[in-house]
Amino acid sequence: MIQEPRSDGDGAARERHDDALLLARARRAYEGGRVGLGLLMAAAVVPMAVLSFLACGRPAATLSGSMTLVLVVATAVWRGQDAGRGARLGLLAGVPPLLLPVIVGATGHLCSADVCLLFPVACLGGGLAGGLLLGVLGVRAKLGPTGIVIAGIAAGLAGSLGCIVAGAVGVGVLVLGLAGGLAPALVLRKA
Amino acid sequence: MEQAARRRLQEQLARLADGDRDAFHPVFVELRPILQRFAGRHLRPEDAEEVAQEALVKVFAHAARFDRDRDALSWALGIAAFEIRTARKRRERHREDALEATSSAEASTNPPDPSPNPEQAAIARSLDEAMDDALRGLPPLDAETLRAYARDERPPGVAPTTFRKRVERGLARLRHRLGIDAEGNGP
Repeated sequence: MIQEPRSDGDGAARERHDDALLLARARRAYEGGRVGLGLLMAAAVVPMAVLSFLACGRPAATLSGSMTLVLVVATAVWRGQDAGRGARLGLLAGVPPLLLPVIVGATGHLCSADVCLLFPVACLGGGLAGGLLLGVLGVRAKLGPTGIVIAGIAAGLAGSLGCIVAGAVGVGVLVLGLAGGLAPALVLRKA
Repeated sequence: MEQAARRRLQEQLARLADGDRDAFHPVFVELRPILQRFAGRHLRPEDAEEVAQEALVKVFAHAARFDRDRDALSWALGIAAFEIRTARKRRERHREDALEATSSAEASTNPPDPSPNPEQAAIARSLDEAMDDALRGLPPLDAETLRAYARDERPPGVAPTTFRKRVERGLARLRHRLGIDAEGNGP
């Protein structure tokens, strides 16, 4: 069958269609790149989870905490902007409350046979340090409300991977410590 | 590209890297013609459009990792340059494959003919005739010796040294008759 030559109108429509296809491809590529970046950033949770698994002896809590943290970080970094920056800072701020209880557990000589009150103290201290760090970095990065919330959640989850060694009490005092450390920055921000 | 447009692209790509989706369309509109022109300068028209599109998609795929300290235009053109290189290599490979396929197809359909073509046969015939004429003018012993030498044979009862000397003498006489000097230069 012989095809009729295309009119200019058909050519323009085809060009618009091609442009739309290219735009859609580019958008998919961009979102794919962002998902990759989110997963890459979330990979930082793996060493934290390994440390928690080895030091805390609560595999179920470690698994659920680290999976939630991966989800929060990957989603926030994929979304980007304030949420992405908040997730990155939260991971960083979660390091002190993650490490302090683990270090205390490794030295161990200050704990009695039945109870180790040093763990909740370590979680509180780690939380305070993490909160202060988050406050300073958050102010410097001009983190908005969304970013601060995401950063707090990420820091809390990362810190809880170390504080689960002290059970629910450890996680509770960690949250208090984080809030206490972050408070001055929030007050300054409002003022 | 104007300095203002370049700064605008830098700012928009930095926003896109940060996750600001509102910067997507402006970057697309800004970069597309630039990459089309760049690919068009380095590739044939039939390849340029496709490569420009691939480069544009790659730019967006890597946009989330764009470092705002780098120059946005150079960064995007670097990605396009890589795509252009890849396209060129692919085209070269296709050309080589096509040549190989053509020559192997020709070889399988037309195997080389071991017999000489008519022109080659005619040349060989006239050379033989000229040689026969020259040999007829030589003493019979020289002609006999050279014919045996040409057939890579040695007449029975003739010692190798004697045969070699006869060949040398016969060749010298033949050269003299054909007007060829010792270096092989003709008349």
